[in-house]
Amino acid sequence: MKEQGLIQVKNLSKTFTVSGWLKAKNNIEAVQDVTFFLKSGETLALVGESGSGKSTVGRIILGLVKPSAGEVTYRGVPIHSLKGDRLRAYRKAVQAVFQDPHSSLNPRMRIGDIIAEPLYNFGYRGELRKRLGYLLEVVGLSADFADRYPHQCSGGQKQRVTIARALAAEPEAIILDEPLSALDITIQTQIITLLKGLQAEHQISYLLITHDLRAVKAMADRVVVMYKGSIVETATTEQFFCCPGHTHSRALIDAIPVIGGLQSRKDII
Amino acid sequence: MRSFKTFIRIAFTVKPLLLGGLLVAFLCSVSFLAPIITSTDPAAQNLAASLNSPGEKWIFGTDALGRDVFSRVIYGSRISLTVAVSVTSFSLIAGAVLGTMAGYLGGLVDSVIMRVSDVFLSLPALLVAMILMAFLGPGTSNLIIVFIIIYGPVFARLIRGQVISVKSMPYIDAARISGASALGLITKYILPNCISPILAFTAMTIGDFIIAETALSFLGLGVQPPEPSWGLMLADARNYLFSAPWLMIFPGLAVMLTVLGFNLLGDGLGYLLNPKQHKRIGVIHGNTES
Amino acid sequence: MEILRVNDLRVYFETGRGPVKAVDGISFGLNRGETLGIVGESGSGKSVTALSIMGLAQKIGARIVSGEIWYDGENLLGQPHAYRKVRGKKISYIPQEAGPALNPVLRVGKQLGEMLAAHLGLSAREVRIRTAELLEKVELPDPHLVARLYPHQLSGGILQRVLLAIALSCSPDIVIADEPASSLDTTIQAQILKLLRAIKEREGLSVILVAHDLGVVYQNCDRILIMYGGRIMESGPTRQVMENPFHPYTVSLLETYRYLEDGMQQHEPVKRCLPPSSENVPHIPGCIFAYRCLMARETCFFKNPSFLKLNDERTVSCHHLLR
Repeated sequence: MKEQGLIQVKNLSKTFTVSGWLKAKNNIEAVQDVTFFLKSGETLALVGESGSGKSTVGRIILGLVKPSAGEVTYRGVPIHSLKGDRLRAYRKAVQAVFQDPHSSLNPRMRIGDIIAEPLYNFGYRGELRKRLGYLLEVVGLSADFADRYPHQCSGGQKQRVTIARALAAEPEAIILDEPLSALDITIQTQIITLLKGLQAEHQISYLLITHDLRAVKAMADRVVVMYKGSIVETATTEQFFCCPGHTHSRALIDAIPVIGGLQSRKDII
Repeated sequence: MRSFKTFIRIAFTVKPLLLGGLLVAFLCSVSFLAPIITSTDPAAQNLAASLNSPGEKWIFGTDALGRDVFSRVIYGSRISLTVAVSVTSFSLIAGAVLGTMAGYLGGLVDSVIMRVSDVFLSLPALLVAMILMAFLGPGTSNLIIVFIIIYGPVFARLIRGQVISVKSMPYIDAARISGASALGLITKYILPNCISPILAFTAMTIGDFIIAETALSFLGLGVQPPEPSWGLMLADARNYLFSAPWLMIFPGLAVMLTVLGFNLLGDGLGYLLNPKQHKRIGVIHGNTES
Repeated sequence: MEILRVNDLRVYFETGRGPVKAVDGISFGLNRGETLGIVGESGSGKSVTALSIMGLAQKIGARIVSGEIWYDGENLLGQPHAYRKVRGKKISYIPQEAGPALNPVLRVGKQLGEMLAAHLGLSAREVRIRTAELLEKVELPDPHLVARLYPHQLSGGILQRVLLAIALSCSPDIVIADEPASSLDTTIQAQILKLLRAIKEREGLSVILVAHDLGVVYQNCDRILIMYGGRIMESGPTRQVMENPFHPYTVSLLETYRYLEDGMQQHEPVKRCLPPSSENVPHIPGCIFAYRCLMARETCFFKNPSFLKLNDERTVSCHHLLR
């Protein structure tokens, strides 16, 4: 294949089996034959409704879920066969930011320890305290946040902490699973600005998993649309918004609540 | 964690915590300071002073062998507390190890551990205790061992449930991605987040242990004479129920207050540490955000 | 004509560090047949306002310090029993999430039926007919099937429709919707809002829509209140406020929104919208927005601006317009 990409997802499928004692086995095909790649330094948006399987794809790439078929390769190496130090190296390279900043931070740890966790685990050789200060500064938090607990921070601040934690590993790619949907719009723009700035500086690739097309428009270079477990469209962001190729893409775009513009109130009623 | 001042304020807001804490603290200091509180030897017999009613010389009276009931009640708290604390800590440790293994690993390990603990849980605790005690022979240390065998599975089951619910939290995934090892996950993420309900439950079970110890000693299977155990004292008091009711009243009162203290403490902790109450207590001390 | 009137409502949370003023002296009216949007960021007091109107503020540990809520010639806050006649019947509520609102061990149809039997005293036969009618009204694809299912068997979108059916069950005058479906997909959210709009038109309801998404508000509301820090910053007809905002807060909110909507391409105006401080704002006697406002002058910090009526419909609370 010519365009290998940093992360390559090949014919990925995932079937969840739901079984009870008395019930018949029930197979749910969450992901079916999904193929795409993520290039170095780009932002790829994985778009779909809830239940479209987009988050499952993200979890497979992160190695949290095993695929039923197909594989994910990182720089040409299949990730689900990785073990020991090489798995550790992969974990370091591919980090994640989740939807709910509140529940993705351990309530019993201080912010400083949370951010330092990847530094400890991936064997950072340097002065921890200094690096911690730098990371907090990068995400726009003051140094005294290190001593706080998650419950002492607002939602936006917590999401900054999860971003700082992801950055601590010096990753090549970050899987952003609905990173904005729990936040106010003002905070959303701040986080997007932060993420874009970091990308420009460190050449990080983002896989943006979301149903919020406003974030897609603001961040993504390319868009992959998933519907009921399969990919229905792959396009550049411009193409996608100007002339979506699939009816489902159209439906997604039409659902964005806009002020004025095409969708004024009269048109709808 | 929080400052001492806020802690005190919470304690006053959550009344059972304050009351229970005070009772337990009182009990602990009594058993520590027993030699200072009373100079009488709890085992010293004085047949000349048999069955004296409470009065100036013996404030709780004396028993059939002329032993000072006050001194025996005070020293008895030592035995009750020793049994309760050691049983709690050992069965908590055993339960934590087994429960965490079952909850974290799941699958076959989980099934085996849980089925075995189900067997223990399905039998009446006191009955099992009596059979085991008869088998091992009476004595304080055997009593402790038996209780650990009985209560270990209870803790294991409780902790397993907690581990499973915490395991599904997004911060566990996040920790994995941050490169945490299995041991790190358990010690830094899972256990600290299961501890609250377990702590509350533990305080409640301490009360149970004290009652069970009393019951077994009463039946002659637990602490052996002449050690001053509340259960033994109650057993002895049986014969003098009408002629010398103080023999029954004072150790009984001691058992009641102790159990009440630990139950209140457990209740208070449960209330304080229950996530559903967080908002309320949070509002009380000013964390209105999120 | 006003169907609901709120006067000088103050709702505080008591904390160890003194009261937190979730709602701090707001007054507004809801006209018959209109949709009123209450807009604000998290912590602006919009949900607390909605709950207070429902008489449920105490449930979340808040205390109504002062205020009047007039409905049908009665001040609801004045009489503790007044709410019993009104809540769920004349004024109903659609919560944000279905999860906590529905009983997980009862079939959906049964829950709806019990509401009907309890509130309206209908017979079993009437209940059955009315249940089917309501589920049809909220455009469920197969109302008979849905009625026989348990909440966990239904998707978020269907559950939102069920909540809507419950809210409509006693033919209310006013429906208060707190961020309906905002945690669901945008496609589902759009469907639910469209449905709510259609039902509102058909039945002549008055709706209070609590939302943080300006796009949602623009498409659904006749009039809006912009809230910040428990106070109303600006109010007026949606179109007028959105197209010609006066308050610096509204301006910055709209700018940020448009900036995001346009894909954040041009140079950032974000600096206008300073991050809201999570620290508790020290009690300032002046305008609550002053510490975030780029146009703030000395007076703003010391004197709380009074409401300026620009015309019959629009009011703004800002010193710059008072000049």
